[in-house]
Amino acid sequence: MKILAAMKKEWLLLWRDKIGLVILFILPMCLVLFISMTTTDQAGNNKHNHKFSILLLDQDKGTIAKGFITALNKISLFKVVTQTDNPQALQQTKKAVINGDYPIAIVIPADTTKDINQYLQKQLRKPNTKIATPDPIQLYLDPGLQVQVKDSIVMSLRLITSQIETATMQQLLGQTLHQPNLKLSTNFIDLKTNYVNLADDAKSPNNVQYNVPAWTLFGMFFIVIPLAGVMVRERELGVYQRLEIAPTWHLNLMLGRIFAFVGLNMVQLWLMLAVGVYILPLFDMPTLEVANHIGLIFITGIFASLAATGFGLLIGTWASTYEQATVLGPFLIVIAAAIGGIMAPIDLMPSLLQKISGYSPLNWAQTSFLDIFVRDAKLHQILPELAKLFGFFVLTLTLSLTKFLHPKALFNHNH
Amino acid sequence: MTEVIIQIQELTKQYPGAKELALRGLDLSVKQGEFFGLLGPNGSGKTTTISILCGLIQPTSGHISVAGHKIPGHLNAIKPLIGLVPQDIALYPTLTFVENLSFFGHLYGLRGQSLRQRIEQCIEIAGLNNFADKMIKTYSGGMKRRANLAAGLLHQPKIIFLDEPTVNVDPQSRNVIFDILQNINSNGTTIIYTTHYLEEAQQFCHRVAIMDQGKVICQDTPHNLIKNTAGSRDLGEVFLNLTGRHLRD
Repeated sequence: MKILAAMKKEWLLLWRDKIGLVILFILPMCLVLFISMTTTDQAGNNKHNHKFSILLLDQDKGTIAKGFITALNKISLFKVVTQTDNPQALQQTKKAVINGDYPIAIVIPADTTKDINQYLQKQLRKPNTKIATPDPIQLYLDPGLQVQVKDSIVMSLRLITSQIETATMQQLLGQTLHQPNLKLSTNFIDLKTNYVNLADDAKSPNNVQYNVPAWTLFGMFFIVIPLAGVMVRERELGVYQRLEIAPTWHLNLMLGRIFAFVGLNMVQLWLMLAVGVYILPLFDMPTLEVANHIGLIFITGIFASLAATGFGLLIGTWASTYEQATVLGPFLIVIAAAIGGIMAPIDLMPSLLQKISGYSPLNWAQTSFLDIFVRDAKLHQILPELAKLFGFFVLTLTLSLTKFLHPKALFNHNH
Repeated sequence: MTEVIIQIQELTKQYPGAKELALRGLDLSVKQGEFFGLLGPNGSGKTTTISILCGLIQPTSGHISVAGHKIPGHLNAIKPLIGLVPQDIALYPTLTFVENLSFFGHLYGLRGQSLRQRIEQCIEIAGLNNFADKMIKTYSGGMKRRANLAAGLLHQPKIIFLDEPTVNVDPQSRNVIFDILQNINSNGTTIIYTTHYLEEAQQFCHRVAIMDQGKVICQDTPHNLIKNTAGSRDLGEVFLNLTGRHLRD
């Protein structure tokens, strides 16, 4: 009964704290929605018709330039705007990038077609000799362009130049062999992607399957703010003294608090997953598939909640002030999320961080969710991660109880 | 009023990291049913003494007995017998008075009809019948003090510790608070009360102890203290004559 009374009290306190409710429910749902919407579909489908504007200045006007422009226009990601050639065109093109009108500009220099043809013919006449390469196609980039975006664009352009090189060489080979219509097939070394999972029936995963569970966990851990806040306020208000002298175990109060916040955390979990199931498809995003995994999602959710609640208790008992609790908690969660692979893939991290990531509760929970959502894992396959989460909960609860039994300052000792 | 309910002998307390002792061999006895005033300037050790008696902090040395049980060894036996009304308003501001009482009542093992009865009595005692379902944060200062006091009486403790219960309270609420205290005292509840309002102590306390620098420097009835302290016409003058007029910050 004492535990139930403590649970009821926690819920009432939260219910009356409207900002706390927004932090608990609305913000995490918005987080999942916007993070999922801002990441592109992993399969590369540009479903949202987002165009990347590129300013193009063609000073060559030869077959190479035409082929390049045709290939560029075929890439749906790009919107090609042509700069009219004139004596100041090059300066105007650079200025357009500097002014931020275009993030990227391409300049195909004059005589590119002629120079390339001459270069190839020289190569045919004198193979294995070093010949000066033609002037390169110039790219002008806004320094504010994200490195990953720049790399992706350059890779696309590199693909186009490779295709043009192949086509030009084919044409030249045809002329040399007196077969002007020579057509050799290309792309005959193909890459086929095959996803394999623990259940051996893997489907192609999409970003929603990765992002929604990951950011859901991130949101769940933010329960630290209201939880630790309530605990620090109890001490600041003096309610703690009344609790201390009541004939009840500290563990009863802790358990009431744990059950209350785990319950809230589970409501959070399903609301955030509901964003993936019901709201993201409204924005032409893939649907989060949960139907086959509800039991395991629930179990992982419980263990992740225990870890998050334990962490909240730890912050709540060890923080001296409300400000400390509400800054320290989220700060540590962001670090744990960053090293835990929520924000960036662990595989792309430096080796030291990859090792540290194995100690982040968010990593354990995310691994379990990934096993469930994209690898179709069974219960026994996620048990190691659940055990780590439970161990973290026991550790944080023990440390919290230690401090709870020996509080630093209950009174102003000035009387 | 003959049985001693609180007995303190040679009590010392040194806070971790502190060079000075907060309590230096304190001796004190309180009889059952007494309205006992614990007076002293800031830093004299009043709150430390109450904190130890309530089990909130551990003594460094000394012997303490509350209702026949030793502290700190038998704290679990003592807890149901004592009530504390801290100087701060120790209630959840965003819960109603009833919700606060219900929560704390459960912690004292009160249930069902008995809990409802006690809640109603506490509301009556505090004179908050029309405000019981309003959040504490909406109360005036006096209402909060009365609610704070009534919450300490919820489980009908044998001994109640009050830490400056009338600080920043309007005269009407102060009057109600003393009516409540005299009423429960007349029913046998022992009251240990700290205050800086010496006229209150003179008016209501059966006996008072004046503390300074971690020790009790005198304890007796207000009448005897005034009579036996040269140049004192009231308890305020006794206090200043015994503790000095220099500032204590």
